[in-house]
Amino acid sequence: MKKRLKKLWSRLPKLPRRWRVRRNLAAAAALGALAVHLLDWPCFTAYDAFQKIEGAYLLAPSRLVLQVEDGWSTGFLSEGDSWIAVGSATKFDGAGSPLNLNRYQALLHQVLPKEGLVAVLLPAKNEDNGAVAALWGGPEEAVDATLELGLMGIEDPAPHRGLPGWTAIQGLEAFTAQAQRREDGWFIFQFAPHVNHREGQSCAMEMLMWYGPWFTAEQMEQPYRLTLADAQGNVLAEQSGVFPPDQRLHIW
Amino acid sequence: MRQIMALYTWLNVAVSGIRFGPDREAVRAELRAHFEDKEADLRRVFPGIPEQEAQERALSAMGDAWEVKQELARVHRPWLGYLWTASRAIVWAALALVLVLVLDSGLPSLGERWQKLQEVRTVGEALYEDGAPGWEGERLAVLHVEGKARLGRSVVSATHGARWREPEGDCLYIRLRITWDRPWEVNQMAINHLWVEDDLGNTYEIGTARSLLDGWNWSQRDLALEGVPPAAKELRVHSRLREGLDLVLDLTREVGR
Repeated sequence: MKKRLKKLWSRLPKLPRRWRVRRNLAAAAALGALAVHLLDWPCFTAYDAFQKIEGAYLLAPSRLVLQVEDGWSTGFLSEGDSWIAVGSATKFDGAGSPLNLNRYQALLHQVLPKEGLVAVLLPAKNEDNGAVAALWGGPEEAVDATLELGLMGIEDPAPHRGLPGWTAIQGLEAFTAQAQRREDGWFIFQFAPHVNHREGQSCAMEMLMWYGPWFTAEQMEQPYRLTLADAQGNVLAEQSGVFPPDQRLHIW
Repeated sequence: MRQIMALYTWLNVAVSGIRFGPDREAVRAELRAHFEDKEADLRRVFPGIPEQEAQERALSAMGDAWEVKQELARVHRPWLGYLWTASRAIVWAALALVLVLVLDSGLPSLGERWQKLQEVRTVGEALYEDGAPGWEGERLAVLHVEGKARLGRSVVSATHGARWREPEGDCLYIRLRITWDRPWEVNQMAINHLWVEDDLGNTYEIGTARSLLDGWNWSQRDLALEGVPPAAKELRVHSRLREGLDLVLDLTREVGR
């Protein structure tokens, strides 16, 4: 039987070697694509994971406005023709089976229409352990902006994982940051937490940013007050508002 | 014995210019077969010729081993052989990886996948063709609602439509599909972020669906839009997350009941 099969095989027309190489490489490419598909298209960088979730919600192509790296998590701010997206990608290690190469969990926290004034809080802390906020829109002549953030009643979103014995100040804490309009039209505000708290008390901003991407929807909705000024320092607009809630979109 | 040694020496020299091992062995076998043919020819033409002489004459007829070597070295390019060997190794490695992944995750879900495909086919036949529905209701009309529109790197399309009367009220079924240019972006929740508006100004949220199926780069649902009035002539599909989706579905073309 084996001999007959071998004979039959030897009688079959053979491709020239050059074509056999091409056939093999094409088959390898197809099998490789199938393997990657079976691996669920793993992302190897935080930005890849963010782009993947943007595309998953039909928010592509977009332009990255800001990326804030926060150790194990990264916050992203991007914009498209008609929308603004805030997202995050959190790295996790060793989870799942060895064949699970995905190491980033991406979330879209907000997708907002690009209309009027849009202020957002990024879900990652800056080098000072403070919040980063971004503002889009406003009169064209506005070049300076001041953002006042009032945090009150911030709760530890996961007290069993936090520092034992530390609580956030429950009274109102105010933070102020200034920014200048960038060439792309955005204002980026960098906040710093307060440093003069008593032992055992944690600054509300530190508590808010502790779990960055894992904000509960309510914690994201913080009140702010915005002042826009022109190059001469004349106030052009003042606005009070609340940061939009966390939509927590993820890929199913 | 001496002739056999001479033949081996001749063959070794002749094929030594071929650097790709499998080719070298194949050519050696072919040259040896040539030598044996020549020897057999000589014995047939000169039946009384001694074996040693026949072998000597056959070997001399094969030509100068060094010239043959140069010619063979020129014709046989080793890189193509190495590339072929490497390509075979890559194919086998890729095949092994796919097999492991299928056994790891794909195989158990194949049965479920098959079941889901059958379910979608049955639901599709019941909704838009002559199949029997597994629920209470009566089909009022089958509509030709084909349309598609691009939104960024994806295409939103509708392929089937039908008006139904069900105990909860009248509803319009639409088979809506999102196809992503990049298969890694497939997300069955994306359809939930679409909404529909008719030409009378009524709006409909994407809610219940009779079936849901994902492909390698698409996600599809048979959506039930409740309360679309018979007077509505067209539907516009929008994205809640961004502007720019221009998908209009004509509800006036009835193609059957």
